[in-house]
Amino acid sequence: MKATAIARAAVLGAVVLLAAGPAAASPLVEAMGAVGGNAGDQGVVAGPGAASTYFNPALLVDAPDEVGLGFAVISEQLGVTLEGRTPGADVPLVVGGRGVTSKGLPLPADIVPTQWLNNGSSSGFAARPRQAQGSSGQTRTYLTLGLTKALVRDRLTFGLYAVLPLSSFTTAQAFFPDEREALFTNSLHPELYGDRLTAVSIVLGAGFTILPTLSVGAALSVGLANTAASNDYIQSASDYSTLLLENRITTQVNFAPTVGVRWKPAPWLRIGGAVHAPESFTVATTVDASLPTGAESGTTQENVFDWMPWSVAMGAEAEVVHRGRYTMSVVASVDYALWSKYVDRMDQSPSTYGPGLGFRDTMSGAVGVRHAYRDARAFVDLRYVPSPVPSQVGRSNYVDNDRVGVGFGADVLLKLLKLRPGFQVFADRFVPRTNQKDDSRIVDEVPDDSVIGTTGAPVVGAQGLQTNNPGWPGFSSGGWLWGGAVTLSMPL
Amino acid sequence: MTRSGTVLVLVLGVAAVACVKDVVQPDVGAEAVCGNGVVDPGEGCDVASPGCVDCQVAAGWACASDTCTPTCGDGVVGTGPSCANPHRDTDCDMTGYWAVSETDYTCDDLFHQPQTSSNWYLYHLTQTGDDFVVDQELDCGIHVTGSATIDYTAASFKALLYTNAMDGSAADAGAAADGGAGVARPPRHGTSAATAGGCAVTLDRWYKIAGVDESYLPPDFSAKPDLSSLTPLPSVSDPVNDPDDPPGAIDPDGDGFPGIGIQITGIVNGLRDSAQRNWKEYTTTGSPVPAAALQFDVPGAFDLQENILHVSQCGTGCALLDTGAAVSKAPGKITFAFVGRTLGSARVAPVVAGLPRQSVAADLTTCQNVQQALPHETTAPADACPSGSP
Repeated sequence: MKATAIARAAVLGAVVLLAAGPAAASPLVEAMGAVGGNAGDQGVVAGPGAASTYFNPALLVDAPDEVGLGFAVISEQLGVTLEGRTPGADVPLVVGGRGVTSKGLPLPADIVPTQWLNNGSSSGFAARPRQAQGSSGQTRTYLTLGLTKALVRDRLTFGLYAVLPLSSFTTAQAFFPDEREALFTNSLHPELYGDRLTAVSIVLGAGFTILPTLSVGAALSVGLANTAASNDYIQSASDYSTLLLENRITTQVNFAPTVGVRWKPAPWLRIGGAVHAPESFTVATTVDASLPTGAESGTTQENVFDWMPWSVAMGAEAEVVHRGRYTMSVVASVDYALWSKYVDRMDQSPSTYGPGLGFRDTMSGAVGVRHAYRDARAFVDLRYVPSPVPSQVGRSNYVDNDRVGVGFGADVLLKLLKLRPGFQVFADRFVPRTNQKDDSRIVDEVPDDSVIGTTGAPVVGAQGLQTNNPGWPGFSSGGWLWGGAVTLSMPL
Repeated sequence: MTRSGTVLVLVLGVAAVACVKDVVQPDVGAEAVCGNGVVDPGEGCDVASPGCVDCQVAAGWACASDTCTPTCGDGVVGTGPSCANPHRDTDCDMTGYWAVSETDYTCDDLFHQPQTSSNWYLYHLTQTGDDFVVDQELDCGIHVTGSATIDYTAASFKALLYTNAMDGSAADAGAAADGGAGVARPPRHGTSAATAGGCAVTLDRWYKIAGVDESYLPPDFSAKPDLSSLTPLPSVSDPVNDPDDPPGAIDPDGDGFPGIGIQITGIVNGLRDSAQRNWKEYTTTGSPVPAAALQFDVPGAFDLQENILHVSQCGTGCALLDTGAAVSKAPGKITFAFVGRTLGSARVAPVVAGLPRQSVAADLTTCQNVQQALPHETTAPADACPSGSP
């Protein structure tokens, strides 16, 4: 009977994981950690509370019935330092005349003179100085909502956990991680933060008690997928105010599942595990353009935001001190994430940039202690989150750093008021790193054999490497990710 | 300070430290380096020339990015040792070498947007009385900007370098071999005469062809026939898919397709081969040019025919290449920039690499210098392509 129940739960979990398609993501929840419930950075096993709905829904069976509200803030301070360019690497001004050829063919039209990027051009090309439009250094605020409620006492508990951005509600900023970005912001952007910290995150789930010592849980992250189609009639290539435009945008809801398990082999020990399915927020854009001649052209491009990998998390919490009404437990957890399958905002894998440039899987971990005395609780956690991004020696400029940090928090149940106020803060250091480019892996935008197409005269300044890659000849990054929350929950 | 005040200061301090900014380090070697071929800040020139001393322009010289020329001598005079206010030593006599640029405007058939065209030449003029003739000439190619950018391919450029000769020599051998008559015509003629306020300058109408044999030229240019009255240019029904080689069309650039090859980039990309014919003429009617000027413009008129014979290298956008352009009502102009009188002089040598038509390599260098001397103008008159025109 017990074996049958366990097998049924396992099959149910597998079906839930495999059946749902990618959905909008929860990178925000991962970065912030569990808000409330004394879970800190180890929601896979600690808490439990409403945040267990995302981190390990099997823990919901141990959560008290309560509704909670929180106000959170995250400040992302991942600074980028671009190294100075060395002489001879500028794309010559003559390229802007579009008369330069190489091997009999014109240079691609997306190669522009470096001077245009720095100062603009008389033809109207606006200046885009390097890193003038960097996107780090943002502080954002959020509202957190939580609900846990036992639907069948000791058997089935429902959970809801949501993090809603207040200051910038779900922004999605696509950018190229290579020399093509010179045509847009000409800047480097943090790959795994920035707009990823603005995703609305809503998770619904439930925990089921199978055996007195064993429970399982399942949850769904609710997200969005958009398609946008633009039908354009272009009257003038140089006066887009005359453009006739019809847009169609559709939005659909997707779900990304999480399954978890909680095992209490002894009253003082709890072990938890959870598997998160990949998540993403996709926007497919179709553009169909008609010209006055009757010619038509169209394309569809897909952007992928907030991509999160398959991940497997495990942890254990052991009560090591129990004196009267005081208890202390130690907690440790690890999280293995398959970042090697990463797809960036341009729907491309980093491995397309060459050997050794694909993202790598990561194993992050945290250790901490939990205290409880009467109705007061507190936690302290230390965590390490390695970066999946390899050294950026080639065309790509994915900006990311290892993180080490500390978090602590406390709450107390005020029985007279039937309220549990609390707070928590964290500070993570982005471990400084430097990326030095290998010139042989950078696109030489003006080949050495470039000539003035009309006369065949060599292009002065074409010898050697010329590139507008904003990350060349190297860049470094470092800084902080810090934040916190104040919470208020009410027992039901 | 109270304990709470200390805590507040610490928190604010940590927050301030934790706020980072992006940094761009200064470029390496950005300081001026004399001798690197780049005119860095603080330098007046950076070129190997007696007119460039320690990267500063010597008195009596003027320097561009890659050449220096004396501002006085070989037909140019000025005031004082620095040759202030330089000008030609004759008022209206055009004798000498000239860098020439013809600027014309068309309206593309795709968006009805203005296209600005430059066609460069090297002229050597010899004047007798009020009349002058072109006795040395190179056709130094075109560059067109606007809704698309148009250039000759390198092979087309070479093929047209000596075609449509204005200097009285026979047309190039390639045209003759492809069925062209290779006819020697009288050199192009013009006038430059003193008049109130300067010089009245004219340049007679001249017809040019590309991608077709010389039978498509009028027998007598001075008769000034309309293009529409001449033998129609070769044409094909479907330049995208028609493999036909229409009679009369030649392949001077050897790209395997009939017509002259033109590389198009920008909002459309590809190679277009076409049959072309045009005429241009210039006159200063009512507004003379300043006497003895080193550079001046003469307004003009032109007409153009083009039949597209083949498009390629255009992927899925070939239909867009199969569109031409109509002549704008905005008047064109020809710009004369005086080079000097004597081949090999300090003024002429930096521009004219050798006697024209003796060495293709030298003539290509000369053409490059001519193009640099008179840069392409990217702007077109605001009324170049008004709605409803041409």
